[in-house]
Amino acid sequence: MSFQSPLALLWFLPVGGFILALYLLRLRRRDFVVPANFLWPERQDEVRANSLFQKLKFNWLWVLQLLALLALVLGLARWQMRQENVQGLTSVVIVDASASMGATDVSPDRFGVAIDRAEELVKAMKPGDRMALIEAGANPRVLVGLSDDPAKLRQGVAALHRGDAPSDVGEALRLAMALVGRDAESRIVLLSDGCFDSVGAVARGKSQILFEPIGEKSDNLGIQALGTAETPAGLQAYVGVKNFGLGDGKSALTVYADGKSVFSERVSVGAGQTIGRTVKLPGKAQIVRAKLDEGGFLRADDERMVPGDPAGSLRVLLVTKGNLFLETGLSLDARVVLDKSASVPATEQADSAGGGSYDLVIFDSISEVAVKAPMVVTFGQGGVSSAVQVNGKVRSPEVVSVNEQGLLDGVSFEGVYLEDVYSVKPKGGAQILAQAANGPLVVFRDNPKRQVYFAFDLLNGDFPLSVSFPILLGNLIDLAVGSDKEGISTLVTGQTVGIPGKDGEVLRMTPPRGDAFDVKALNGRFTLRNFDQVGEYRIGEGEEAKRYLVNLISDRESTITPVAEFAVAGGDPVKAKPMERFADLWKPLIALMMSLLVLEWYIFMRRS
Amino acid sequence: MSEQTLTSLLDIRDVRVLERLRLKPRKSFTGRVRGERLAKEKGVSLEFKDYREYSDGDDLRHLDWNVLARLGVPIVKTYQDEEDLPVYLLVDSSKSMDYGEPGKLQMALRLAAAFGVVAARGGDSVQGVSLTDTPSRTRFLRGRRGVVTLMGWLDSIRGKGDRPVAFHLKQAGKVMGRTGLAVLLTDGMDEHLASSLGQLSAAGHEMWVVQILSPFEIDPGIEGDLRLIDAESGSAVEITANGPTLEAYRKNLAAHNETLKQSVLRYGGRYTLVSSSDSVAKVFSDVFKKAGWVE
Repeated sequence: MSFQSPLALLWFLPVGGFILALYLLRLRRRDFVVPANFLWPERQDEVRANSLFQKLKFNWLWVLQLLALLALVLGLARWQMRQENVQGLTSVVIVDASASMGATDVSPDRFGVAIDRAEELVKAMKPGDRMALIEAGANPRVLVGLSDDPAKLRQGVAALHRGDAPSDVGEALRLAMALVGRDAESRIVLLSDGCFDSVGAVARGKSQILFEPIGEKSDNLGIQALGTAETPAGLQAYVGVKNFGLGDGKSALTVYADGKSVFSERVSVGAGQTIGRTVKLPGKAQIVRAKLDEGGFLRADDERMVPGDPAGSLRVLLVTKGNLFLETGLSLDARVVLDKSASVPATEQADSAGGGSYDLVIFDSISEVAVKAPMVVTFGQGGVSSAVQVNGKVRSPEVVSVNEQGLLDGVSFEGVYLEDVYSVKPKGGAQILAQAANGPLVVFRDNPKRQVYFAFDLLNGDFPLSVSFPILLGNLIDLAVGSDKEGISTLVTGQTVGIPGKDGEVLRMTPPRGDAFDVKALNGRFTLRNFDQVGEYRIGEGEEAKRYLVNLISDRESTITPVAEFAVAGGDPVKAKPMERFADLWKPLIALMMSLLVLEWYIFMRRS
Repeated sequence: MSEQTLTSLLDIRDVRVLERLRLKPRKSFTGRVRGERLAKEKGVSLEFKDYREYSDGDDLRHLDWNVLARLGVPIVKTYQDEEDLPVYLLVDSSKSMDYGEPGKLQMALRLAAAFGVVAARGGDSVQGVSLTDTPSRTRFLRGRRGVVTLMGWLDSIRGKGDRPVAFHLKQAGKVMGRTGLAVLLTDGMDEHLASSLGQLSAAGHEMWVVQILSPFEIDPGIEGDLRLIDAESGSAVEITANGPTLEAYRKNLAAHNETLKQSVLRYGGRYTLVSSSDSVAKVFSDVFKKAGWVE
């Protein structure tokens, strides 16, 4: 409750005092002789006064007059009341359409609740209000631009679609800011459970962000890892189950090989804990699937699929002091089972006994040592076992040539800033894939083991921020995994895949659920964006069809505990806040005043 | 009996109606002279009962000439079988009665005169008593001469006095020696009147109460902010005369009248309410006759 013009309240004192003063005046009554006055009631309904002075007597007339005056003064002071469920004159509603919004801790699920709320907001629009609707999925999109047409907005709400991919709320907020950021009266309403990665820098603009958290519980088990490996005991699968909730969880874990159950166990996992199981597989399993039957409120992470061919999955050891870019980039590839360490464990070093546990070891600005793994990738200073001999550093190098075939296919260093690079000399059998003005930048050697050397530290430049970085990681993993003989690949939900094709050609895409649809090639590529369901996609038709096993791999989405606030880089966190606005009450107040005056007139007439 | 002899209280038409009527009390009373009313004790005709002093209007035939000759005092004989009825005309002449148009006191005086005519015509003896701060009374009057005397006394009454009628009624009761019919003509504007009636009843009198209200009192046509001055006590009540106030007054008046009526009936008396605008002949023929007060 507040007042736009609080000083107007001061009028109540002099005017109210004047009204009361009128009632302090003594009524000059006419004398009238009667035979006896004991039959007459002591009833004094004074409606006028014309002489001084008397003690103030209770009278409904002055009470009503003061109430009418109060209503008038409150109206003049522009009394405002908070009203919930309304957004303001201009608003943008962002509906989180990520995997975590599929959690069923509320009915029917969080996304369903968000849709209901969006419908309520459309219904609560007042004449002159405008609203836009944004779906915050893996690729946020504006479903309805700013519109004052409720029917159009309702259609937009009906078109909301949720995928099993993480959402890009930051991009959705940037879209919203682009729409209304200059309007100080506007509101951006985010309907979400807050389970999304931290939002990058967003120009906050003048608009106010209102966040309404959805969801109540956190119970969720998920398949966190699934990989296959050829071992002396035969083909085996490794399954990791993590409890993302705040309490202990139990579920039946079943592993299928080409649809046939090969393992089943009821597992119990403590809060925040991960358990692992090794499962022996039939020798020629094409697809291995792990499934939790009671994996909590989120279903999307209850299932994961990988190719049965061990080449289809990769155990990677990242030796680093900390590199978010590498960790994130590797984790997003479903084929990767990632471990992280500040140094190479003794058991993985080449001079130790036994076989190694990893297919790939990546040295990130850590001195390279000889390891058992069949492939090594080194960023930065290298080591004795490296494919190059490191001689020092050179500042501000200029990249002069890149062999864009094979490993560096699709990778460009154009416009990339590198603060300095190592001056290296390739060892015997090494091949230079990229050349800087003063020496090799990327070196590849395939013998005695497969080694890739990058003559720069990832964090000493902006290469991890370039579009080439995830492509390079994909190429590295492809190289480590080997050729895709079975035509089966793995993807994470929300990922986009490019396939070469002639312009105008059509490719049929069949999702796990729903109807197949066609994708046309453009600019020499089929761009496949709609991998937003967990399950198996078929691209193409007949025996030529390529199969994509799409999994949800996101700890942030699996951690479905609703949050009350989320951070936005470069600004204050956005806290949960009820949707409300101030409603000006002068119209009902004036109506109330008129009603009181009518009532006062009626009583006056009756008493007169 | 001519119009002139009855002064302004009654006209000839009223008298003609009244002369055909006779009081009809519920009780029977023992008179002092032979009258025209049958006593309860039947069977003994013209049996001498007692002597009493002569009063104006007494039939000279009942005068005991022997006693007059010996003692020089006029004494009349009374008989057992037929007796006269002592009728007290108690006229409330307080200030509250001097109100209304036509005035309540004027109506009370006219009704008293009418009762006097009827009583005289029936051979009853009448005593007028004014209930006021300066009370006055007549002797027991009988016959036409008594009626003339009564008219003169009534003509002299003026509304005055600040004391309530209940007080005067108690005072009058103390000197009403003979039990008889007490006709109280009052506006009843006294909160304590109902309770004071018991004294007269206890003395053996039959109580007839005629409450006289002016048209204004029955339906006050006033409005506005007023200070109501009590005509007797002078006390004031401030009111706003509007619908609710008048409604409350009417309810209070009805409740007060009902209390008075029930009190009278409880003591074996009779009660009626008349307006000061009514005609005397109409009251007697339409009210008293129908109610059995007269026949």
